[in-house]
Amino acid sequence: MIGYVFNVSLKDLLRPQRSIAWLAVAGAVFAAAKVWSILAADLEPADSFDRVQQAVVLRVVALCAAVFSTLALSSEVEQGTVTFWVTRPLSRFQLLLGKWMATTVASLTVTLASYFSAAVAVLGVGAFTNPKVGPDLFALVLGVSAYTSFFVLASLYVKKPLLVTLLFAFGWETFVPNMPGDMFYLSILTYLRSAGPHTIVAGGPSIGDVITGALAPKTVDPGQAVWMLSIMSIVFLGLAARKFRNLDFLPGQNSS
Amino acid sequence: MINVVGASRWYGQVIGVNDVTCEIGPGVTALLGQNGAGKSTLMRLMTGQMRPTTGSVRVFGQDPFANPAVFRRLGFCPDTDACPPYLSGREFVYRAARLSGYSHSESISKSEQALQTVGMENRAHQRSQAYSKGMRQRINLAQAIVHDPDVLLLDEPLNGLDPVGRRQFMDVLAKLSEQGKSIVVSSHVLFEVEQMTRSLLLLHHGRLLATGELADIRSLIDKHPHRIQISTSNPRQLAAHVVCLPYVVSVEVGQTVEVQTREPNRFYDELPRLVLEEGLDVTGVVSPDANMEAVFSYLVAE
Repeated sequence: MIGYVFNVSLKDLLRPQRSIAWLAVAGAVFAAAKVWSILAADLEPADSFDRVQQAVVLRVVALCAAVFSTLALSSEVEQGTVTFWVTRPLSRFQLLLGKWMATTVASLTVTLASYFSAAVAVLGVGAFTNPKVGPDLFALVLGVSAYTSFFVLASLYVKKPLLVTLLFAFGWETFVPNMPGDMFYLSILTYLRSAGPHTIVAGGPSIGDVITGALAPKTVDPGQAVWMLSIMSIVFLGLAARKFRNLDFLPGQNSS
Repeated sequence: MINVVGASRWYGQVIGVNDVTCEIGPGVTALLGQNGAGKSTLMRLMTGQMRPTTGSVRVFGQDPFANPAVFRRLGFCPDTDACPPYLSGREFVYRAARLSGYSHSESISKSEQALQTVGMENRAHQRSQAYSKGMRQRINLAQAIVHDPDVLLLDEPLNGLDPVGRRQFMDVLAKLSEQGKSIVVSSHVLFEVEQMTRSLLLLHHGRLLATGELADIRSLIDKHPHRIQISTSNPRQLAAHVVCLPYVVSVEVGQTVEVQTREPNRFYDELPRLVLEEGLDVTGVVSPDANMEAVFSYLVAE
């Protein structure tokens, strides 16, 4: 049953009209990476890719997770179509897990398309033989999973989940890693950056450095980052399942 | 099949349903009330989408809240369009079948069966965005019956339907009722519901005002004598005879004779005898108070 929920939810999330928009995102990432590699021609391609990865690709992870999490659950609640799901003979845990899996896979699909777009733009055909690809993919899978779990949980608690999750993705996740002290531990992005093989290149106080978290380039041990991302995925998903299990679907929550 | 005991549901400071106790068995039952009376709240309590603040709701003896065992035997047709606009009716009903635990081939045959029942088998290939309101309602109904539930709950299913669509929808419900299903239909349009059932639950401001058969409820309203209009070629003669009956409160003579009585059943028993013995010419008997509109007006005015 989880498999079927996953299957239809994924189909809904990646239906053609939406896929075109996400292809455009991957195209925009390619263009941004190409422009970057031209502007930073004095940098080694590997260093350029490090910065593109930090500034653009990792943001796409959060963006996809925020949008897909919202589409998968809270938009169903808003449109009233969630009734169809919650009155079928399947447990709410099965339903949430199937939706979470679909959200994760959809986010990962767009993330990987963006990642390879950026890699090809900066590294050319060597992008696919780059030794960092394997570790990058591993980190991205964990990052997508952690973000998705967190945003699914958030979408069950807040009224305007898309706005809140986007604020988290582009506000909190931009400024908290740059803050002094130990605040950077409270950012998923910190662990995602640390889990990957890219280094954060410290520079002056420019917008680019704020976005890449280079003002206070603090990282955690890669092994610890992998564990933290895994734990976050499980804990946030568990909390979301608990919340969803006890959630009342009230009349008037939908737009009817 | 459905037991509600002292159920109340609050939304912060606002009450949705207030201390409702009722029992719903086989056949068609109407859940009546004006907008905001608490019908949707009660429906959601019975379909396990939310829990009562106090009291209990039981369906097949079990708590329906998030309970798959209950949903195996319960179908729900919501008041909103459950079918996404990018899906065809057939795909949507197939999904409902799959999510009810059927295999791919079983789901195909079950969904075709459900589509046939609601008369949508020839138009189910179109995307739902191309459907009329009536067609969407029928698809909604098809997804609710695809797993052959024992109990079917329909939230305002006749809303927005044109007269033809309404008639077709009611015919489908009548067919399902003949198959032995328990059907609960919520509505605020009384005359429509009246054509489907005489068994009702009447909600007003979250409280259950009355429950049972329409005639029983009507007979309980002692403060309002029951009106009976009798058509006859000689109204004055008929009036002279019925005014002598002890349970007749008043008689008004016009084109017809309008009798007000506190014991309509006794009056209906007595009328044929009078007609035969006195040779009265009676061409029609109607009771404007026997319809739901009148019952509803009386109860709400209390």
